[in-house]
Amino acid sequence: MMSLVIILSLTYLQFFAGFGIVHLCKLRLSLPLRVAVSILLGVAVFSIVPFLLQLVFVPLTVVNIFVGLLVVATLLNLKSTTEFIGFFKELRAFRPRFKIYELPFILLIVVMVFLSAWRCYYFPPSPRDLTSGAEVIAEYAIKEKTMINSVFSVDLSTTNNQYKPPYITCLQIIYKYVGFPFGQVWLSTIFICFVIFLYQVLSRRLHKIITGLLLVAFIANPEMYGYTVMALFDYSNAVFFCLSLYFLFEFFSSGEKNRLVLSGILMAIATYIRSETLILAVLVLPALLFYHWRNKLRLKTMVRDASYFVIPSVLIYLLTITIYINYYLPSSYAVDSLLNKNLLNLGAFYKRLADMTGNLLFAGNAINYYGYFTFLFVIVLTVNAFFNKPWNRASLNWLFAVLIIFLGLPLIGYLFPLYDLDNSTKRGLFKIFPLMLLFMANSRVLISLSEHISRWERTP
Amino acid sequence: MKQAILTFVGVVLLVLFFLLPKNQSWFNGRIVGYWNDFNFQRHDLDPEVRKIERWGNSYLFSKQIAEYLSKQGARSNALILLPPTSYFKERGVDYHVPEPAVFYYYTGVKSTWINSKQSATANWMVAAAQGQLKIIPVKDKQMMNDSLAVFNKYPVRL
Repeated sequence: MMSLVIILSLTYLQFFAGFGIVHLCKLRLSLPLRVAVSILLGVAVFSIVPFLLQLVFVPLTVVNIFVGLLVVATLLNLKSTTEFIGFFKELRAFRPRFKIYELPFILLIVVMVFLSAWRCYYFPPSPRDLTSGAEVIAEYAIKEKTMINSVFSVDLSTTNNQYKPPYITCLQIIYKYVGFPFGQVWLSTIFICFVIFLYQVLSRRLHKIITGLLLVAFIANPEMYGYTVMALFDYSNAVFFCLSLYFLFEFFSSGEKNRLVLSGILMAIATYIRSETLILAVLVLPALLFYHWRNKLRLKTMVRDASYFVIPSVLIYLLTITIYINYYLPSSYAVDSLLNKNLLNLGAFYKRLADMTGNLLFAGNAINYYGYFTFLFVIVLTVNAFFNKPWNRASLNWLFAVLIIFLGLPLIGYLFPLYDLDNSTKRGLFKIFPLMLLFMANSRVLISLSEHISRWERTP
Repeated sequence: MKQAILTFVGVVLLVLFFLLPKNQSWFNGRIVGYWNDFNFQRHDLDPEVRKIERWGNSYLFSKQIAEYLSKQGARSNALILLPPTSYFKERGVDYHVPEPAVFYYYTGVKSTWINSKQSATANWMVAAAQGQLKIIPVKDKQMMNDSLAVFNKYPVRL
């Protein structure tokens, strides 16, 4: 019971911090969407504060960390006091309405989420990427009050996990401090908020039956579900990458700069979680350039908007990789030494693309790892292609996003051979599934089907 | 009435979805299996039990090694040489040897592997005989070299 009170208090503080960012970006979102996005942003804020304290050599005591979190959350909300009060009035008046046919899906989703959250809470972290890196550093950070601790005096010749960005380390420190011996519970917060986000976004254009079925298919993706149970970088990375593209595409349709700014911030968070996301961020840029070309905007505007999108990611990369690793950690790690020495040989790129497609996405282990989700996407894509006027802008945007991951991951594998197929690419593909889901949510075929069901439902 | 029909259709779609072979095995293993696990896990919240359940022998043996060193008063300055997992397996000990960072996480004791530069500076080592672990202080360089010659016959894997 006490654990539940603590987790709710932490989630409230995360919501408070995230609400400030949402308000600063002047976003108008529906209430459930605002709550979900605020909490997700709050988790990101939590993951950065201990790192910033470390950068200025403030001891990572429980008092320092929580004072730091409170100060940052308060600063983010300096201009949102009125909105915060307004939000609670809105919350009090909010009455969620469910149709009876939503309930089987919602019940099943609740059970799947609950079991994931329980195991996340119950078991200690198990992936070696975590126990030989972020987790052991977090454990000793609590004992020694610094992330640069005795772990770096251990024989680390078997691992490079100590050089991964401190996203998980920071969250583990916070959650261990408040009484969760294995941390990890933050992952369930991310999972739950992402499910709420997706349910809201899918329901906008799809009938609730289709929304429910798609969301169940998405959650029941075996490998992805596995990583909602045990913490690692890739699930969080996929969530923030998807959110970034969501707000970028919202910017494309509304032209509101604040959405672009938030998209840039979210991409920076995704880069903070997995540094190679910077490459994917750069690959997204052509979409932004195309938007400016289509709208005949000036070159100056184009450069400024591209900067809004990509500069936060570059800055966080410099801070967490270039500066932190080279100037703070006791042992050095030359990232450029990991680069492919034979870049002119494009065969490695095609091989990785073929292996990823043949072994992970459409054959080989595809069904074992990801269930039938990829095939569901292909079926919807194919049927959609035969529709009259099959492509709308939203669906094309999401299809482009899918293509970025499809080509981007082999590109990363080609640039950095250490980014292997069976582990890094397999988990990197988590990023493609929410994008496939959002493509389906905007596909003409499912929208048309939804309209037919709704029309039939309305007729007496 | 139409809502009832749609509810029925929704349930049928869910059933059909989980009748697909992979989905069915996933549902039985993950959802039904996890639910069964939950029903007994919720009665046993001791963190140590949860660690053993998750990490198994790898954790148990590592803790035993650390406890032995504590009893010998050697825990704080020990650097313990751990032979590969295949070495233990051949001697009837089911010990998946954790890499040094993970061993430190489990126990707070520093260790090293045979393929590391640090292996020559180890002051303790673990060996196995007749299904039992033996924790031995390294007395001299000759002893270390002889042991390394034995351990090096076994492949080192994570």
